[in-house]
Order: sequence, then structure tokens, then C-alpha cells
Amino acid sequence: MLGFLNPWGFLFAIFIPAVILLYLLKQQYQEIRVSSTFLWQKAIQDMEASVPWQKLRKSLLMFLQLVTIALFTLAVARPFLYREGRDSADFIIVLDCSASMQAEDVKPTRFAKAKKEIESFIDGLFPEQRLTLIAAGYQPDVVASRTNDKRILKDRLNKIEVTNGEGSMEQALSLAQALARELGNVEIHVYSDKLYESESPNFKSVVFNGNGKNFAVDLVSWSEIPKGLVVLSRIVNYSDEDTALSVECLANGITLDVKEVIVSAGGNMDVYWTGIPLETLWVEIGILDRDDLISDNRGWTVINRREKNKVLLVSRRNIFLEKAITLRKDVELAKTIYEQAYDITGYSLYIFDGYIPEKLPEDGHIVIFNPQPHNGFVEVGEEFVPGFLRNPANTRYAQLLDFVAYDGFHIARARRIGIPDWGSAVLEDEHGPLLIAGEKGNQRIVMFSFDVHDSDIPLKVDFPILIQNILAWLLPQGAEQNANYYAGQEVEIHTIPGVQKIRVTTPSGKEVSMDPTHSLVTFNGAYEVGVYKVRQDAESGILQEAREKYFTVHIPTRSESDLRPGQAFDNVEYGFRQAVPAVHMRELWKYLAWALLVVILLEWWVYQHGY
Amino acid sequence: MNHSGDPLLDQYFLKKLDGLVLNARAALKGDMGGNRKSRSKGTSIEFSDFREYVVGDDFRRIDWNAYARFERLFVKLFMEEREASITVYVDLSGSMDWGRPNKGRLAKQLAAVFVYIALANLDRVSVMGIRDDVSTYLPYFSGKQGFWKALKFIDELEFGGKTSLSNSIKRYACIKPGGISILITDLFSKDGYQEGLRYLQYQKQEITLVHIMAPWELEPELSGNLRLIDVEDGKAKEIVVTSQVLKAYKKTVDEFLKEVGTFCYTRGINYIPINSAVTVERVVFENLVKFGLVR
Repeated sequence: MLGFLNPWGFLFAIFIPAVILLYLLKQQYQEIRVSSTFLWQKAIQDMEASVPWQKLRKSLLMFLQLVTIALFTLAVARPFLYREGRDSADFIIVLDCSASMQAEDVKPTRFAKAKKEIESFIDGLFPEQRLTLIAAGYQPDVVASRTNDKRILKDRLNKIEVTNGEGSMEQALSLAQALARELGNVEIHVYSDKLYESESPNFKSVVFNGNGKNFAVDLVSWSEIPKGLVVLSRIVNYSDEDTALSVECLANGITLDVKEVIVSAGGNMDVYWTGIPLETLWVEIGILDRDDLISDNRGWTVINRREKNKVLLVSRRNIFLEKAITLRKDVELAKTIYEQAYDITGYSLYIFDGYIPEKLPEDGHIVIFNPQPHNGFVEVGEEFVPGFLRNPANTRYAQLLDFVAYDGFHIARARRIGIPDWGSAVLEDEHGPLLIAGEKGNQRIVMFSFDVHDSDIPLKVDFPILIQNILAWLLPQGAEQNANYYAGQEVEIHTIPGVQKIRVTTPSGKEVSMDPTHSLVTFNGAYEVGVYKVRQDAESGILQEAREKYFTVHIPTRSESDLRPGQAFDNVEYGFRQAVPAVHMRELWKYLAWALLVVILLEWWVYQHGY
Repeated sequence: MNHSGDPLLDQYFLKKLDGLVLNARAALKGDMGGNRKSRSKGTSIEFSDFREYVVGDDFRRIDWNAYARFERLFVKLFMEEREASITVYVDLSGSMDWGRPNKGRLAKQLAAVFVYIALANLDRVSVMGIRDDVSTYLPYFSGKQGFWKALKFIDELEFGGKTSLSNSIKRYACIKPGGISILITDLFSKDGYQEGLRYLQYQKQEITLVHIMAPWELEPELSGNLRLIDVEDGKAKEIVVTSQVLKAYKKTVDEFLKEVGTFCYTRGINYIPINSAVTVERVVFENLVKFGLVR
């Protein structure tokens, strides 16, 4: 159907009679007296004989000018073609930005195609129709809210980027539905590679899926055997035919081995790689064959061969504590007596039992048992007999008491300690705190206000649990052992006490500086897949050499790598089923402008050549 | 009619003309040299008459015996030379009084030049103005004293009306067979020019056709929608001037000139095309001399 956006433009048509009038006026010839028309007559006769339509020339020019005006008038009136479906006043478009949208089974990619379709949808909007654009990336993001400004919409649309994550379609759809309920007369259009269905008639799903074939590295892990390192990788074939694949293994970026594996249709294959040097920092497994989704063809694992945590116990003698600490295998416990405990460095954790040195070490975390008065570190008062123990509400350090039944503890005497500004009580009674935890800069400190020998706690099964909880907080294993993340996840980095600088280098070489003033910092930029390097260095002082750790970021292969559509589609040829007319309205003035240009050129040519 | 107010020809220019001789026959026969000289020797024997000397006459022809007797200067006239009768036809149609520089003025100047040269050579001269009929004419005369009368006659010729070249020529009864005819025209003639020229040849005339065209007629500068009005009959022709039309016009002009040239060449007629932008002096000393018409 045809309509006009600017019917007033037809006023330009009054120029049509104007041109005709001008031509009529133009018939008034300029008179020139010549000696004789004899030769002119002859010349014109000759010419008319050779150009039969000479007489038409005037009228041809006039005709072309009339066409020009007609085209211009039409263009100004802004005609458009439209189809059904213009009832809604508002549209909400949800664009899936998950990793699978990177697939190239729909050309150029599913995501680019979807963006193009949305762009033509924007072009087709009527002036009074408004559009809300939601990008379902790592988080749903409303990039444009109820606007009819096509320029802004296209600009915002162009800025949306596909992610390596699994997307947030569920949240984005809930958000869209919530918005729709608020707005009333609204249509939700979902642009994704999966089909979304809804009861609502105003819900339409446009699916971009070319039934692409894809292979993925699903898992990479390592273990240490007496002979060296062995790496296990799992290669998954998300296609409908058995495929032979070339898989390579790289250590620190250098190719070690290439294997040919045959993976059955829809199945997976575990590939083992041996002979990996012990000093390897990270291993990369890559599929060399081409498929429709490239970013999941590589997987990485970081080799964090367990380093022992050095712990120093300064004590007269505390066998309970020694036993409880050495339960953890990665702890290397050193012991010393009070007299020798001065100017000590080089440990990850210092435990002072009944003693506090004049100068506390700064390169490791600290646990203090039974601090003595006048120690220069905390204020210690008189002794008291603790009664009913409780865990104050809202403490940040409740994890220290996980699985610990502290209500069965009996303590003969404790010392009253003023809670320092860096810490808070984890366990207390009405007289004062019994267990304090806190962070002084990036140094973590745990303090008991009593001697364990003055209680029945070491005799209980809860004691080793409590000690292990404390060690887990002070000497975290998580970052070292599980260094694999999915794109978009927050990466926690445990700060080494005394560090001034933390820098994260992304796989593409970008450096991000982090603030090291807290014991745990969060890195929010893990959007790229690959190996990230975390470098912590101290410019001066205790930590002599920089410490480099690695972590890896992957595509969530379980949800993203299978490119095959869940349902069968009617229209497979294009690889997408279109439930929405992509174009509601198409403006025609551009074509008219081109035609206008052609006619004007033609007119100029006719005028120049005198036809 | 004298357009500029200046005399048609000035004294200085006339002086320069003194040495020139009309040489039409010699040019025709291709043997210019001595023919006319030997003829004049022969003719000098047959005395015809005396007439008083006027300034400009050949002083070698002064009869010194008569001077001794009458103390006045007389020149002897001879029979044969009088036989060379020259007719100058001037096209007086409206189209000639046109152009910048004016074709008519150049035509009058040339007519005067031919008359002067003829008289200087003791030839008989007649001037005839032609339009669609014989309009006015000056009968044959000779003797240099007649030049001023002829000049006045020429100067006072009026342009206007249509041209019928052939008709006018045929209607001129006084024409003497065996003479020289000089036709000064732009050839824009209703009844063509060929019949008239053939008639003159039939009258045993040696013909010289001086074809004057104005610069604008050769290279018109026009554009747009025009109504061209013929100054002779007032008829209009509407044209839309484009580069194509101008090209066609130039082609037509070229063909016309070529056609006239070919006609004259095949019939032994001297054809001298002249652009009215050229001064009469240049026409005489370049075109006519170069062509061998005068020497």
C-alpha cells in the first residue's frame, strides 16, 4: 500500500502549469533582421531532413522539465510503501548478544545479519512509532528507550557488540515483558538464533540459524604424574556427521604436538597430551579445522603446580595448633620461639601465639592468639570469664565459623580487647570480643583474645575446622587451582600483602591496572577469550620479585557451541525463520531522487546536443 | 547613400589607382603581358576626337600641336579604345544595405573604383543599379571629367526592395556586346543569378562577379529562439539556434560559395568573393591585383 508522509509536498505541483506557461511565453521569439533568410531556410531544410524529430526538441525539453518537477513533487511528498502490522505504537526489540550469535552459518554472521534486519526495521518505523532496544549481553542492557529518533536508534544499534558469553536472554525477555506491561500497546520482537515462544500475540521471534556445524574444545585440564605433566582435552563435534579433526597443543604459545582425531557426530572425544614440560605456565588446545563458530575452537588451562605456603608459628609450644595447621597439605610450617622472632620476613602467614613482636611483619597475613597487654598493636585489658558466645549479626567474616558449633565452646578466661578500626568481632560475648578478623590494607589479620589451652576448644572436632576456615581465608586456594572462567564472569584476585601494583594483561595485550589496597580485588574485564596474566609487584620492600599468575577465559561451550536449532524450521534455506515482516514501511524518496538526477542529466545532454 | 558621411573614395586613394589598368580580357586569356599594350598601339592610329585634358588623364596623350595653337591642353581620343565599354552592375536590393561593415558601402566604393580605373584607361563606362528590375542607371560615358558625375551618381544610389538579378540584367537594353561586365552583389536573389550571367555571356561580355558577404553572414553569432526577418520582403523564419543549426548554416554557406565558384569557373567568369570587413583599398590591391583583374 502506498501512503505519503508529507502530502503538503504536492503543492510543488503548481510549478507544472508554471513551466507550461513559461514555455508559452517563450514562444515569443526574439526578432532579428537579417539580410536574407535564403541561406537559413536552406540550412534548416537540410537539417530537418537529417534529424526528423528536430521539431520535437522544444517539446522534449519541456516534457523532461515536467517530468523533473513531477519527480521532485513526488519526492517532497515522501511516498512510502507499507505492509500490515502498523497498529502498534511501541516496539521492544531484544537482540541476543550471546557467543553463538558469532556463528557464520548465516552470512556474514548471525549477529551482523540480525543487526541489519533490525536496521531495516528501524527504517520502516512510522514517525509516531517508538522503539526500545534491549541488548542481551552479559547483562540485559536497555541501549535505547522509547525513542523514534532513527538516527539515535541506528547509532545505538551499531554500538552493540556480540559477546563471548552465554547472553542474558531470560532476564532480557523478563525485562521486555515488564516494560511491555507498563506500556500497553506494544510488540516484542526477539532477534536470536533460538526460537522463543510466548502466548502473547504481540510477541514475535526472528530466528537466525543456519544449522551451522561447529567443533569445540570443551574442556582442558591437567595433572601431574611422575613423568611430567599430562593434559586432557575434550573435543566435541556439534554436527551431524563424523569428522576427522586436526587438533594442536601449544605450551606457552609454542606448538608441541598436532593430532588427528575422529569425532563422531554429536559426540565427543578425550584427547590426552603428554610430554608437557614441567615449567609450562599454560597449555592451549586448538582445533585447526574451519567451522562456523571460531571462538570456541581453542581452550586453555593454566598449569599452577602447587607451591607450598610458608607459615611461621611463633609459640612456646602449641601441639593442637600445629596439628590443625598441618592438616592442609600445601602448608610448610616453620616454628620458632619468641626470642628469635624478630625481623622475620618471607612467610605467607605468621602465627603469633601469646606474643606480639615490636614490629609486625608486612609481607604476610597474621594470626594472633592471646595477645599480651602493652604490645603496641592492640589495646588489651583485664581478664574476664566469657559466658554465652554469639556471632554478631552482619559480620563480614561469618565464613570463618562455617560448620563450627561454637555454642559448645567453653573458655576459662580471656582478655578484653578493644576492637581496632580495621577489624570486627566474629565471636563475642557480652564482655567483649573473643575472635576478631579484619583487613589492614591488604593484610588480613585474625586475633583470638584467649589462649586455646584455657578452653576446651582444641578437644572438639570443631577446632581443626575453625583453623582450616581461617587458613582458607588467609591462604586461599581458589585462585590458584580454579583459574578458568567463562567470559563475562568476575575474576577474583587475591592480593599479596605489601603489593603496590596489580596489572592484568588481556590476551590481546591490553593492560589493566587494579587497585591493590584491598586483599581481594575483582577484575570485571574478562570478555575476551584466552589467557590472562595477573602480575603483582612491589616497587620496594618485602616482596622481592613480581608474582605472575594466569587465568583463562572460555566460551561457555555447553550452552553456546551447539549451533543447531532446537526445533526444525520450515524455512531452512536462508537459515532463518522470519515471523516478523522485516520492513513495515519503505520510503521511496531516495529512488525518486535518483530518477530525478537521471532526468536532469538527460535534460542537460539533450540541451547540449541540441536534439 | 553615404552612410558614414565620408566621401566614398578619398583623393589619396584615387591617386594610387592611377597606375592600374583593368585587365579582364588578359586575365581571361591567361596571357596578361603585352596584349593590351600592342592593341593600344594599333588603336592610337585611328584618331577619333579631341577632348580637353582633365587632371588624371595620361599626359602622354596630350596633343602638343593643339596646345601650340590654342594654348589649351587637349587629349586625343581613339576609336578602338572607346570600343571597350564597361558595365558596372550594383545590386541595390535591401539585403545589400546590411551588415557591419556595410556591404552596400563597399559595393559603392568598388563600383567607383571600377569606374575610375575604366575612365583612366579611356574606356567607356556605364553604371547600373539593379533591384527586381532596372531601377536606375548611368548611360555609357567616357572621359575623366565624367568621373565626378559618376561618383555623385554612385554615392546617391539608394538601397531597398527585392532582388531579381537575372530579370534586371536582361531588361537592361543599353548593353553593348563585347564589353566587360562587372557585377557587384551579395547574390541573395529571388530568381537566382545563373540565368543573368548566361545572358551576359550571350551578350559576349567578359564577366567579373564580385560577391560581397558580411562577416555575420559567414559566421553568425546567434543563440536561443529567434525570428529571423528578411529585410527585403519582411518574411519571418523562426528558428531555435543550437550548435547543430549553426553548423548546418555554415555548411550551407560553404556549399553556396562553392557552388557559385564552380559555376563561374566552368563558364569562364571571374569570381571574386569578398568579406565586407575588408577595406576597399585591400580589396583593390590584394584581391583584384592578385586575381589579375587589375594590374
